[in-house]
Amino acid sequence: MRYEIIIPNPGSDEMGASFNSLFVVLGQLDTITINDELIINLQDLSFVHPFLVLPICCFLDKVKQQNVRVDIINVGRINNYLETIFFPQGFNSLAYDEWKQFLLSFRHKTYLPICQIPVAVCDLKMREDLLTSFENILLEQLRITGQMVSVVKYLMGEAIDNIVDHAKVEGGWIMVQNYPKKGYMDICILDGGLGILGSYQTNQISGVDDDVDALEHAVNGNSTKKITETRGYGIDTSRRMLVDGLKGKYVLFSGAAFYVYTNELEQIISLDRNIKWHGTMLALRIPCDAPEGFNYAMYLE
Amino acid sequence: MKLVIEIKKYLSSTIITRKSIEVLKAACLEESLEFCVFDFSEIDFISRAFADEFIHFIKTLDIKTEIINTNENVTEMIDAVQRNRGKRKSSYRKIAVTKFGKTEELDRFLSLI
Repeated sequence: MRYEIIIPNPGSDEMGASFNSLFVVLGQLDTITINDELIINLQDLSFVHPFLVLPICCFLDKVKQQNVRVDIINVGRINNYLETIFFPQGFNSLAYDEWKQFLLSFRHKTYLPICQIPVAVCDLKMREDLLTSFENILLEQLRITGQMVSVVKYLMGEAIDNIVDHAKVEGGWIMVQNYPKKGYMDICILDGGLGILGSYQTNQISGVDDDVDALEHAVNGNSTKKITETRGYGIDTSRRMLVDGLKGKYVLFSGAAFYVYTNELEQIISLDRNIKWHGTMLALRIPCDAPEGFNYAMYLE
Repeated sequence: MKLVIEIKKYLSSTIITRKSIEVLKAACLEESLEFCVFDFSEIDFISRAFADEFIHFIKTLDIKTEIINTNENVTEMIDAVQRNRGKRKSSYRKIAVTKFGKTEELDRFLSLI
């Protein structure tokens, strides 16, 4: 079958606006199957928000492997930008010998290309090098210093380790957009793998029956692995550090459950079954400056 | 036999994932090893995940070990992991769960984020 999906423009930089558009898209993608044809129409899109665009990249990558033919049309005014950020295929460092030099060319910009995160064990050194370079360029773009350097590295590190350790995928994805005049950066890190529920089920952890349960357990720091009580801190510490400490925003989306933690609210939204992320998506809005009195080390457990 | 492992020769200046420990494990395979020094010079940052694996690894080595040249970030992370080994949160927090019946209600919620 042939499907055409018009990507709705979020209309604002608010996180919720991106997710609103994303949910509209996911609801239409739910029925795509092997050998279908998918047209992605960007006629309405005027700005490329990571929380909308990165999951689309991951989804398109997955369906192409299922012989779905994908065409992207009406890129119009954002075409040059989309090419610069490697939409939709993402920048694959494994395919470029000079990947470090290439990423360095972004250090005076306000964005970084969509990057694939290699996960295979044999790519370990490449992965760590890539992420180190990525982080350092990001910090240089926003001239972040002091303990905010540790914060950004902590938040990104824990999220990426969760993909490598739990998702059972060949690769993850990361995209960053900086808003220097607004004083924050948006980081989206995701995978199209098992999802949090799938990870608990694979490890035969009892008492986790659906996506909502899975998110609640993850936020409470219950590891998906049976071994050792020293695991399970990443999500809980990250969300407290970002929101309680820095007044940022933390969103975790896996399966049909959507966890939001901000200064104003904490909720899990149980979504309709056709709005589902097959994997795990982390969306962070990180202020560039720490409030007075913030102490990064206080949040480490 | 004493072995000094300069971590910077094996890993990046920012060490992120648990699996990075495999590199150090391979470096410590020497059978007659009695004392291992882990030199963290030029390592800017380690994730909590890696710190957890590292502490677990050196405790299983069953030989004398020493950690040297850690910067403030690395020291804080290793200390945090060591401080919390054996402890576990006993409380479980229920989080409010909402299922919206109408699309407009979900839209309204998303406008709050």
